[in-house]
Amino acid sequence: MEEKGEEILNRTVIRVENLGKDYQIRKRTERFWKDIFSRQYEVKKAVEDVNFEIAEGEIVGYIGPNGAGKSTTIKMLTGILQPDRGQVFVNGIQPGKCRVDNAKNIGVVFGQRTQLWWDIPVKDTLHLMKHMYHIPEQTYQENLKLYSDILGLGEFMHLPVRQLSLGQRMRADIACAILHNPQILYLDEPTIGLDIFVKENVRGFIHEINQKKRTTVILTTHDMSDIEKLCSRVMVIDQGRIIYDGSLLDLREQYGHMESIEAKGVWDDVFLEEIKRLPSVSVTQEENQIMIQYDSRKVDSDKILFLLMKNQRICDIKVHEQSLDGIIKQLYVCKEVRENGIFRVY
Amino acid sequence: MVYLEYIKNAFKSQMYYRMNWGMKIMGIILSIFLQLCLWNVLADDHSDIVSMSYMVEYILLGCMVKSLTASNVVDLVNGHIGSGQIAMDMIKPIRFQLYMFCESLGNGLFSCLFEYFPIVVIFSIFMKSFGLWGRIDIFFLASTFLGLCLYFVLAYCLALTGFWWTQTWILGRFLNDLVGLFSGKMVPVWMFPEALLAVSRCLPFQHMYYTPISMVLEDFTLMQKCSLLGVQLFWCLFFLFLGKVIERRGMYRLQVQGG
Repeated sequence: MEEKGEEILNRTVIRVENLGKDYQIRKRTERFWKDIFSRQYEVKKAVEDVNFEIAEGEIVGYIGPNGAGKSTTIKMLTGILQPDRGQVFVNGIQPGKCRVDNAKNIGVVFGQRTQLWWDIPVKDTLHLMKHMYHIPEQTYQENLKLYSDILGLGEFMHLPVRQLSLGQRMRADIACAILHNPQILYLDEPTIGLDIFVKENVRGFIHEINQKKRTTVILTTHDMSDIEKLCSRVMVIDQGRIIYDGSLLDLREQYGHMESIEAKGVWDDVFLEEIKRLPSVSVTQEENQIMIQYDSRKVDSDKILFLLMKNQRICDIKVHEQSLDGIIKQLYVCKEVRENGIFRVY
Repeated sequence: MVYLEYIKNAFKSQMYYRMNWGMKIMGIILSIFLQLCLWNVLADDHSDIVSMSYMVEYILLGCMVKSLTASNVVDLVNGHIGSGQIAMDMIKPIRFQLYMFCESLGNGLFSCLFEYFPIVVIFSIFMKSFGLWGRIDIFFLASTFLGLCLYFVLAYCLALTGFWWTQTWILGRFLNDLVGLFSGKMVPVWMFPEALLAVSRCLPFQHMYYTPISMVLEDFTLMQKCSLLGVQLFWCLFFLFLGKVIERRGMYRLQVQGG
C-alpha cells in the first residue's frame, strides 16, 4: 500500500457541479389535532453546493460526521436519488436521468444494506449478477476464483445469506459489487461492524482491485484507519458542505499540529510548572505518568524533550503525532476552516 | 435472461420455507372444501340458476388463476420502498417494475405449481371434473397471463403511493377487497345484480379473474375471446402507463436515509 501516496492524474470520471439535495421533514406540534388538519414541513439541506472532480484510478475517502450528507451524495452519484440542484456526471452520464446505463459501470456496497438474495445461497446471487451484467463466462470464472481466494468466499458460498455472519455477508456483498469489473466502486461504510481480521482483508482487497484493475474507489467511513490505509485524497463534508478536499498529507500538515508527549517518571511541581509556561502547552498528570499536549506550530517538540531529559528520574517517553481521528474531529469543530471556505489541494 | 433468473430465485426462495408450504396446502384444501360445500347447498336449492358441475369447474379453475396472483404485490413493492431496500434495487441495471413483476411471478408460479395445482388435480378427480383439463386452451393461458399482468400493474400503481405515504398496506387490503367483490372471485360475475354488474363492467377487476375462467366455461366465439383479450390488454397498458407516470414523479420524492 506504499503506492497510495502516488498522485494519479487521469481523465475525470466523476464531475459534480453545485450539487444540492433537500429533505422535507414533517414538523410535529404538541397538539395532535393541529397536525391532522395542517401539516407543516421544514426543509433540511442534506447536501448544498457540493463541487468536486474525481479522476480514474483514485481512491477517495469521503468522510464526515453522522448526517453530514455523505450517503446522500453517494446516492445521487449512483442514481438512486435525484438531485434538487446542480449536476452529476459519471463517465459523461447523468445518473439521475440514465440510471440503468450508469448502473452498468458501477459497483456499490452499502454497509448497512445487502444486495444478496436473503433466502438462497450466495453462489445463486453471484450467478444472477453474471446474467445481470452480461459477464462473459471466462471473466466470471476468473473473477469468481480471484475473489474467492482473496475474500475467502469458498467457505460460505453454498450457504443461504440469512445464515452468514456480518463479516461473511460483507465479503459476499463486495464480491457481488465488483464481479462485473466496474469502473467505479462506491463503498459506503464497508467495514462497519467488522472485526479487525475481516477489516484487513477487505482493505487489502480494495487496494488490490484498485491496483490491478484501476478501479476508481469512493469510500465513506467513520474508521480513519480505512482512510489512512487506502486513500490518497480525502473529502470532508459537514452539514451538507465540503469543508476540506485535498491530500491526506496536506490535511496532516495543515491541521495535524496538535502533538503529544507521554512520559513516565517522578515529577515535582516546579518542573511541571516550567513546562506549563511554554506557549500552547497543557499538562495532565496521573500518578507517575504525564501527558503533555502542545501545538507544534508554537513550540518545538525538541524544547519539551530537552526539558524532560533534564529530569533525571524519567523512565519512559513516547512522542505521538496527532491521530487522523483527532485531525478530523478538529476539522469538524474548527470554525476558521469553514470561514476560509474550501481548502483544496490536489 | 436476467429477469428469468429473478423468477428462478423467487421460486427457490419459496422452497426454503417448508412449514409455510405445509400450512398453505392445508388452507387451500379447507378453502376449496368450504366453497364446494356452500355451492352444493346453493345448487341444490337453485338448480335452475346454477349447476354444481359448473361451480366445481369454476372453483377449480378459479384456484389456478388465483394462485398466480397469490403474491401480495402492494406489500412486496411497498416493503422495498418503506425499508429503503429500493436503494439496492436501483444500483442494478434493471427496471424496478420488471424486477418486482418477476419476483411476484416467481412467487405466483411456485404457488401455482406446488401448492394449488396438485390439490386442484386431486379435487378434480374426486369431483369427477377431470374433463376440465381437456378444455384448457391457449386463450385461457393468454387470458390468465394478462389477468396476472393486470393485477400486477394495478397493484404496482397503488404500491407506488408509498413514495408519498410510506405505509400503504391498507391500500393493498382495499385492493384485495375490491378484487374480491368485483372480480368474480367469490361469485361468478353473471350472478351479480344488474346494478353491480353495470359497475363491474366499467372496472378492470373482472378481467383478472372471471375473464380467464370464462374462456373455458362460457361458449364464446373466437371473436368474443379475442375482444376480451383486447380489453384485458387495454387495461394492462392503461395501468402500465399510469404506473410509469407515478413512478417518475415518485422517484423525485424518494428518501432513503440512514446509510
